[in-house]
Amino acid sequence: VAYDPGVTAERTSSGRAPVRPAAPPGGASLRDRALYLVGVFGLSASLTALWLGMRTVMNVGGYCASGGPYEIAVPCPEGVEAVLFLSIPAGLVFAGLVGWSGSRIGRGWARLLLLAWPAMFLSLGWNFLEYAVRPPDGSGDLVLGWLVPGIVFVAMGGVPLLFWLGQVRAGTWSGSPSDPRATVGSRVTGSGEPVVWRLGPIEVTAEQPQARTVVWHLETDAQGPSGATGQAAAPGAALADQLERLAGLHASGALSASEYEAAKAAVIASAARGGAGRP
Amino acid sequence: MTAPRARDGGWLLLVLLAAAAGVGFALWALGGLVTP
Repeated sequence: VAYDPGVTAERTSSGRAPVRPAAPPGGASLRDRALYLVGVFGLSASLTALWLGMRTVMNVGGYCASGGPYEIAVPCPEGVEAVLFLSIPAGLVFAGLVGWSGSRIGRGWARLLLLAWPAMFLSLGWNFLEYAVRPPDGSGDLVLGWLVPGIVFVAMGGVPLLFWLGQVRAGTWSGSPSDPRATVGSRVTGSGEPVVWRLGPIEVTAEQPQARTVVWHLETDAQGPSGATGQAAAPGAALADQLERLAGLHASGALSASEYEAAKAAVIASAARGGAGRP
Repeated sequence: MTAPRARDGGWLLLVLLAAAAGVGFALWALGGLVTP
């Protein structure tokens, strides 16, 4: 069983389902793309501010304080607290903006947000490692208290990054904003026919009469707007029909509750992307 | 299929530029405030 990225090139399905109208090309609006760019800009700036603020505090020994009734041994450098305390919520807000607008552009672009995790942990881990090897007091001794968190941070950022790179290399990551395969299921092919699609925990095939419309949606989605030809169907009616069939499968016991929810979500997402649910 | 691919490439370049601009902006804006 293997993922077939060349789904558009070859069709092995015996029962060719009717093709619905082409999805609207482009998809995302200019506003979504502008917001995405703003989010990426702000998130990068926030992460950099956090990185800079951390270095500033480490320059005075790793901790500092200001205000309050107590005598302060190490006063904070001017403004660094504001930078540290603002960069985190600001980063979260911008990350939300990237995720939200990215999901409107295409699932692959929203998932690009995951890179913020390794970016943060690797950059902060670098600070720990650099100051562990080259402490600001100039002693030249290895600072174990900074070496350990440095290694932990690099591992926390590096391991997910390696997984991400592996996904990109395997081609299972789609960064294309208009690639429908990024949003619904994955197509698994056995030693030939029938075509099998994996939707989260379940597998569906056109051989199952009740699942035929689901597979039809998946196949036409995978085919993309360029290959969509043929008779037009009412998208809203098709969606309602699919949901009814899924509900029937669930009621008959063929689908468990979780399988039903997964398939329903996939069908709705598919229809929304294809224009059926789009306002 | 060539045109969408080219458009995606241009879009990716814009995203990378936005990320680089964010880093550059923070370094510039906070350069006087905090010491790298």
